[in-house]
Amino acid sequence: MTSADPVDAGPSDVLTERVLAVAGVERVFPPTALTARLPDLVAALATGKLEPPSRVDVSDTDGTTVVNARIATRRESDTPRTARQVADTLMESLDQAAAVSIRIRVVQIT
Amino acid sequence: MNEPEPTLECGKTVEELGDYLAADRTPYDPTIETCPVCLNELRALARVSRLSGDLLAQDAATLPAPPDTWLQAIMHNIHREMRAGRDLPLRHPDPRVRITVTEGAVLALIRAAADDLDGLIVGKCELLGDADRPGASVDVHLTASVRWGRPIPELSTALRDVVSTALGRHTELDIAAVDVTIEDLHGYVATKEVR
Repeated sequence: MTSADPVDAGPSDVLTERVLAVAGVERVFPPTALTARLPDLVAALATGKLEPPSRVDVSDTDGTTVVNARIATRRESDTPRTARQVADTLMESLDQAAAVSIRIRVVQIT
Repeated sequence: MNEPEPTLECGKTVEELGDYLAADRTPYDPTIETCPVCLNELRALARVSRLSGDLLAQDAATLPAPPDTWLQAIMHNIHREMRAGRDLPLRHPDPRVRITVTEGAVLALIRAAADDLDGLIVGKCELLGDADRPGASVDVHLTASVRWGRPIPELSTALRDVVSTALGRHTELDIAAVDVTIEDLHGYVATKEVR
Protein backbone atom coordinates (compact mmCIF):
# COMPACT_ATOMS: atom_id res chain seq x y z
CA MET A 1 0.00 0.00 0.00
CA THR A 2 1.37 3.40 -0.89
CA SER A 3 0.96 6.42 1.29
CA ALA A 4 -0.55 9.48 -0.30
CA ASP A 5 -0.69 13.10 0.66
CA PRO A 6 -4.12 13.97 2.01
CA VAL A 7 -6.24 16.01 -0.34
CA ASP A 8 -9.33 18.09 0.17
CA ALA A 9 -12.57 16.41 -0.69
CA GLY A 10 -13.00 18.66 -3.71
CA PRO A 11 -10.46 17.53 -6.26
CA SER A 12 -12.07 14.35 -7.43
CA ASP A 13 -9.69 14.32 -10.38
CA VAL A 14 -6.80 13.69 -7.99
CA LEU A 15 -8.68 10.87 -6.31
CA THR A 16 -9.59 9.42 -9.69
CA GLU A 17 -5.94 9.39 -10.72
CA ARG A 18 -5.02 7.62 -7.52
CA VAL A 19 -7.75 5.03 -7.99
CA LEU A 20 -6.64 4.39 -11.57
CA ALA A 21 -3.09 3.86 -10.29
CA VAL A 22 -4.18 0.92 -8.10
CA ALA A 23 -3.07 -2.38 -9.64
CA GLY A 24 -6.02 -4.27 -11.04
CA VAL A 25 -8.22 -1.24 -11.72
CA GLU A 26 -9.19 -1.02 -15.39
CA ARG A 27 -11.26 2.14 -15.38
CA VAL A 28 -13.47 4.47 -13.38
CA PHE A 29 -17.04 5.10 -14.50
CA PRO A 30 -19.06 8.30 -14.16
CA PRO A 31 -21.24 8.59 -11.07
CA THR A 32 -24.83 7.48 -11.52
CA ALA A 33 -26.81 9.76 -9.23
CA LEU A 34 -28.48 12.58 -11.11
CA THR A 35 -27.43 15.07 -8.45
CA ALA A 36 -23.84 13.95 -8.86
CA ARG A 37 -24.06 14.27 -12.63
CA LEU A 38 -25.88 17.59 -12.64
CA PRO A 39 -22.72 19.75 -12.81
CA ASP A 40 -21.50 17.58 -15.67
CA LEU A 41 -24.80 17.93 -17.51
CA VAL A 42 -24.70 21.70 -17.11
CA ALA A 43 -21.10 21.74 -18.32
CA ALA A 44 -22.07 19.52 -21.24
CA LEU A 45 -24.78 21.97 -22.25
CA ALA A 46 -22.29 24.81 -22.08
CA THR A 47 -19.48 23.08 -23.92
CA GLY A 48 -21.39 20.76 -26.20
CA LYS A 49 -19.31 17.87 -24.92
CA LEU A 50 -21.75 15.10 -24.17
CA GLU A 51 -19.49 12.52 -22.61
CA PRO A 52 -19.80 12.47 -18.82
CA PRO A 53 -16.39 12.53 -17.16
CA SER A 54 -15.37 9.25 -15.59
CA ARG A 55 -14.39 10.19 -12.11
CA VAL A 56 -14.68 9.48 -8.43
CA ASP A 57 -17.57 11.45 -6.98
CA VAL A 58 -17.01 13.47 -3.81
CA SER A 59 -19.81 15.19 -1.95
CA ASP A 60 -20.67 16.46 1.48
CA THR A 61 -23.70 15.11 3.32
CA ASP A 62 -24.42 16.61 6.74
CA GLY A 63 -20.76 17.22 7.40
CA THR A 64 -19.63 13.82 6.19
CA THR A 65 -17.42 13.57 3.15
CA VAL A 66 -18.99 10.93 0.95
CA VAL A 67 -16.82 9.36 -1.74
CA ASN A 68 -18.35 7.17 -4.41
CA ALA A 69 -16.31 5.23 -6.95
CA ARG A 70 -17.66 2.94 -9.63
CA ILE A 71 -14.83 0.88 -11.02
CA ALA A 72 -13.99 -1.91 -13.43
CA THR A 73 -11.39 -4.44 -12.37
CA ARG A 74 -9.27 -6.67 -14.57
CA ARG A 75 -10.06 -10.33 -14.90
CA GLU A 76 -6.50 -11.30 -14.07
CA SER A 77 -6.70 -9.33 -10.83
CA ASP A 78 -8.20 -10.31 -7.49
CA THR A 79 -11.28 -8.10 -7.34
CA PRO A 80 -11.87 -8.08 -3.55
CA ARG A 81 -8.21 -7.23 -2.90
CA THR A 82 -8.19 -4.58 -5.63
CA ALA A 83 -11.36 -2.96 -4.33
CA ARG A 84 -10.01 -2.91 -0.78
CA GLN A 85 -6.83 -1.25 -2.01
CA VAL A 86 -8.95 1.36 -3.77
CA ALA A 87 -10.81 2.04 -0.52
CA ASP A 88 -7.56 2.26 1.43
CA THR A 89 -6.06 4.61 -1.15
CA LEU A 90 -9.08 6.89 -0.94
CA MET A 91 -9.08 6.78 2.84
CA GLU A 92 -5.40 7.76 2.99
CA SER A 93 -6.03 10.61 0.58
CA LEU A 94 -8.73 12.22 2.70
CA ASP A 95 -8.47 14.36 5.77
CA GLN A 96 -8.18 11.85 8.59
CA ALA A 97 -9.90 14.18 11.03
CA ALA A 98 -13.04 14.51 8.93
CA ALA A 99 -16.08 12.25 8.98
CA VAL A 100 -15.77 10.08 5.90
CA SER A 101 -17.88 7.51 4.10
CA ILE A 102 -16.43 5.56 1.19
CA ARG A 103 -18.48 3.55 -1.24
CA ILE A 104 -16.80 1.36 -3.86
CA ARG A 105 -18.94 -0.41 -6.42
CA VAL A 106 -17.32 -2.85 -8.83
CA VAL A 107 -19.55 -2.66 -11.89
CA GLN A 108 -17.45 -4.54 -14.43
CA ILE A 109 -14.78 -7.24 -14.39
CA THR A 110 -13.10 -7.10 -17.73
CA MET B 1 -44.24 -14.17 -27.71
CA ASN B 2 -45.09 -10.50 -27.39
CA GLU B 3 -43.33 -9.59 -24.19
CA PRO B 4 -42.38 -5.93 -24.00
CA GLU B 5 -38.75 -5.35 -24.81
CA PRO B 6 -36.95 -5.24 -21.45
CA THR B 7 -34.86 -2.18 -20.73
CA LEU B 8 -31.74 -1.75 -18.67
CA GLU B 9 -31.52 0.74 -15.79
CA CYS B 10 -30.05 3.25 -18.22
CA GLY B 11 -33.06 2.89 -20.52
CA LYS B 12 -31.32 0.98 -23.31
CA THR B 13 -32.97 -2.03 -24.93
CA VAL B 14 -31.30 -5.13 -26.33
CA GLU B 15 -32.39 -3.98 -29.77
CA GLU B 16 -30.64 -0.61 -29.42
CA LEU B 17 -27.47 -2.27 -28.20
CA GLY B 18 -27.69 -4.88 -30.94
CA ASP B 19 -28.03 -2.16 -33.56
CA TYR B 20 -25.09 -0.26 -32.08
CA LEU B 21 -22.97 -3.41 -32.16
CA ALA B 22 -24.04 -4.19 -35.71
CA ALA B 23 -22.94 -0.69 -36.72
CA ASP B 24 -19.49 -1.47 -35.34
CA ARG B 25 -20.13 0.84 -32.38
CA THR B 26 -20.33 3.89 -34.60
CA PRO B 27 -21.13 6.69 -34.33
CA TYR B 28 -19.60 6.69 -30.87
CA ASP B 29 -22.33 6.88 -28.23
CA PRO B 30 -21.01 8.18 -24.90
CA THR B 31 -24.15 7.14 -23.06
CA ILE B 32 -23.37 3.54 -23.99
CA GLU B 33 -19.58 3.64 -23.84
CA THR B 34 -19.55 5.07 -20.31
CA CYS B 35 -22.27 2.77 -18.98
CA PRO B 36 -20.91 -0.44 -17.42
CA VAL B 37 -24.23 -2.24 -17.77
CA CYS B 38 -24.31 -1.50 -21.50
CA LEU B 39 -20.66 -2.47 -21.86
CA ASN B 40 -21.21 -5.81 -20.09
CA GLU B 41 -24.11 -6.50 -22.41
CA LEU B 42 -22.26 -5.39 -25.54
CA ARG B 43 -19.44 -7.77 -24.71
CA ALA B 44 -21.83 -10.69 -24.20
CA LEU B 45 -23.77 -9.84 -27.36
CA ALA B 46 -20.54 -9.64 -29.34
CA ARG B 47 -19.67 -13.16 -28.24
CA VAL B 48 -23.10 -14.46 -29.25
CA SER B 49 -22.78 -12.68 -32.59
CA ARG B 50 -19.42 -14.30 -33.19
CA LEU B 51 -20.91 -17.65 -32.27
CA SER B 52 -23.84 -17.30 -34.63
CA GLY B 53 -21.44 -16.17 -37.33
CA ASP B 54 -19.30 -19.26 -36.75
CA LEU B 55 -22.31 -21.53 -36.88
CA LEU B 56 -23.55 -19.89 -40.06
CA ALA B 57 -20.11 -20.34 -41.58
CA GLN B 58 -20.21 -23.98 -40.60
CA ASP B 59 -23.67 -24.22 -42.04
CA ALA B 60 -22.34 -23.09 -45.39
CA ALA B 61 -20.19 -26.20 -45.35
CA THR B 62 -22.17 -28.86 -43.52
CA LEU B 63 -24.38 -27.85 -40.66
CA PRO B 64 -27.86 -26.39 -40.27
CA ALA B 65 -28.10 -22.88 -38.90
CA PRO B 66 -29.24 -22.60 -35.31
CA PRO B 67 -32.91 -21.71 -35.04
CA ASP B 68 -33.53 -18.00 -34.47
CA THR B 69 -35.40 -18.71 -31.27
CA TRP B 70 -32.34 -20.39 -29.83
CA LEU B 71 -30.14 -17.34 -30.28
CA GLN B 72 -32.95 -15.01 -29.31
CA ALA B 73 -33.39 -16.90 -26.05
CA ILE B 74 -29.70 -16.46 -25.26
CA MET B 75 -29.85 -12.77 -26.12
CA HIS B 76 -32.94 -12.35 -23.98
CA ASN B 77 -31.16 -14.06 -21.06
CA ILE B 78 -28.10 -11.85 -21.52
CA HIS B 79 -30.27 -8.76 -21.43
CA ARG B 80 -32.01 -9.94 -18.27
CA GLU B 81 -28.75 -10.83 -16.55
CA MET B 82 -26.76 -7.74 -17.44
CA ARG B 83 -28.89 -5.39 -15.41
CA ALA B 84 -26.81 -4.32 -12.43
CA GLY B 85 -29.02 -6.37 -10.11
CA ARG B 86 -28.12 -6.91 -6.50
CA ASP B 87 -25.03 -5.53 -4.78
CA LEU B 88 -22.89 -8.42 -3.55
CA PRO B 89 -20.81 -7.43 -0.53
CA LEU B 90 -17.02 -7.52 -0.26
CA ARG B 91 -15.49 -7.25 3.20
CA HIS B 92 -13.53 -4.31 4.54
CA PRO B 93 -12.45 -3.92 8.17
CA ASP B 94 -13.32 -0.21 8.31
CA PRO B 95 -17.05 0.36 8.96
CA ARG B 96 -16.85 3.64 7.05
CA VAL B 97 -16.15 1.68 3.89
CA ARG B 98 -18.74 -0.21 1.89
CA ILE B 99 -17.61 -2.30 -1.08
CA THR B 100 -19.82 -4.29 -3.39
CA VAL B 101 -19.69 -5.94 -6.78
CA THR B 102 -22.82 -5.87 -8.89
CA GLU B 103 -24.64 -9.06 -9.74
CA GLY B 104 -24.57 -8.03 -13.40
CA ALA B 105 -20.78 -7.78 -13.34
CA VAL B 106 -20.54 -11.24 -11.77
CA LEU B 107 -22.93 -12.84 -14.27
CA ALA B 108 -20.99 -11.21 -17.12
CA LEU B 109 -17.79 -12.62 -15.63
CA ILE B 110 -19.32 -16.11 -15.52
CA ARG B 111 -20.30 -15.86 -19.18
CA ALA B 112 -16.83 -14.65 -20.13
CA ALA B 113 -15.20 -17.51 -18.20
CA ALA B 114 -17.51 -20.06 -19.83
CA ASP B 115 -16.69 -18.67 -23.26
CA ASP B 116 -13.13 -19.87 -22.78
CA LEU B 117 -14.46 -23.39 -23.17
CA ASP B 118 -14.63 -24.63 -26.72
CA GLY B 119 -17.91 -26.26 -27.69
CA LEU B 120 -20.15 -24.89 -24.97
CA ILE B 121 -22.49 -21.91 -24.85
CA VAL B 122 -24.14 -20.71 -21.67
CA GLY B 123 -27.88 -20.23 -22.06
CA LYS B 124 -28.95 -18.93 -18.68
CA CYS B 125 -27.02 -17.95 -15.60
CA GLU B 126 -28.45 -17.27 -12.14
CA LEU B 127 -27.28 -16.73 -8.58
CA LEU B 128 -29.83 -18.35 -6.28
CA GLY B 129 -29.95 -17.33 -2.62
CA ASP B 130 -29.36 -14.17 -0.62
CA ALA B 131 -26.23 -13.21 -2.50
CA ASP B 132 -26.52 -9.65 -1.19
CA ARG B 133 -26.28 -10.85 2.44
CA PRO B 134 -22.73 -11.39 3.75
CA GLY B 135 -22.01 -15.03 4.45
CA ALA B 136 -25.19 -16.36 2.87
CA SER B 137 -24.96 -19.58 0.94
CA VAL B 138 -25.47 -19.19 -2.81
CA ASP B 139 -26.15 -21.69 -5.57
CA VAL B 140 -25.12 -20.96 -9.14
CA HIS B 141 -27.51 -22.31 -11.74
CA LEU B 142 -26.34 -22.54 -15.34
CA THR B 143 -27.91 -23.91 -18.45
CA ALA B 144 -25.83 -24.56 -21.52
CA SER B 145 -25.78 -25.96 -24.99
CA VAL B 146 -23.01 -28.29 -26.10
CA ARG B 147 -21.76 -28.66 -29.64
CA TRP B 148 -22.69 -31.97 -31.21
CA GLY B 149 -19.92 -34.54 -30.75
CA ARG B 150 -18.32 -32.86 -27.74
CA PRO B 151 -18.23 -34.82 -24.44
CA ILE B 152 -20.98 -33.53 -22.18
CA PRO B 153 -19.68 -34.83 -18.81
CA GLU B 154 -16.21 -33.36 -19.38
CA LEU B 155 -17.53 -30.01 -20.56
CA SER B 156 -19.97 -29.83 -17.64
CA THR B 157 -17.14 -30.46 -15.21
CA ALA B 158 -14.92 -27.92 -16.95
CA LEU B 159 -17.73 -25.35 -16.79
CA ARG B 160 -18.15 -25.93 -13.07
CA ASP B 161 -14.40 -25.54 -12.59
CA VAL B 162 -13.98 -22.29 -14.52
CA VAL B 163 -17.04 -20.75 -12.87
CA SER B 164 -15.93 -21.79 -9.38
CA THR B 165 -12.44 -20.44 -10.02
CA ALA B 166 -13.74 -17.12 -11.35
CA LEU B 167 -16.16 -16.64 -8.47
CA GLY B 168 -13.51 -17.61 -5.93
CA ARG B 169 -11.16 -15.01 -7.35
CA HIS B 170 -13.55 -12.12 -7.84
CA THR B 171 -16.24 -12.48 -5.18
CA GLU B 172 -16.60 -13.48 -1.55
CA LEU B 173 -19.74 -15.51 -2.15
CA ASP B 174 -20.17 -18.73 -0.21
CA ILE B 175 -20.86 -20.99 -3.19
CA ALA B 176 -22.71 -24.12 -2.08
CA ALA B 177 -23.14 -25.59 -5.55
CA VAL B 178 -22.64 -24.88 -9.23
CA ASP B 179 -25.46 -26.70 -10.98
CA VAL B 180 -25.09 -27.23 -14.71
CA THR B 181 -27.96 -28.35 -16.91
CA ILE B 182 -27.13 -29.18 -20.50
CA GLU B 183 -30.42 -28.51 -22.15
CA ASP B 184 -29.51 -28.36 -25.80
CA LEU B 185 -27.09 -29.53 -28.46
CA HIS B 186 -26.07 -27.38 -31.38
CA GLY B 187 -24.46 -28.18 -34.69
CA TYR B 188 -26.37 -31.47 -35.07
CA VAL B 189 -26.93 -32.85 -38.57
CA ALA B 190 -29.97 -35.06 -38.76
CA THR B 191 -29.76 -37.71 -41.42
CA LYS B 192 -33.41 -37.48 -42.46
CA GLU B 193 -34.66 -34.18 -41.23
CA VAL B 194 -32.92 -30.91 -40.57
CA ARG B 195 -34.38 -29.04 -37.67
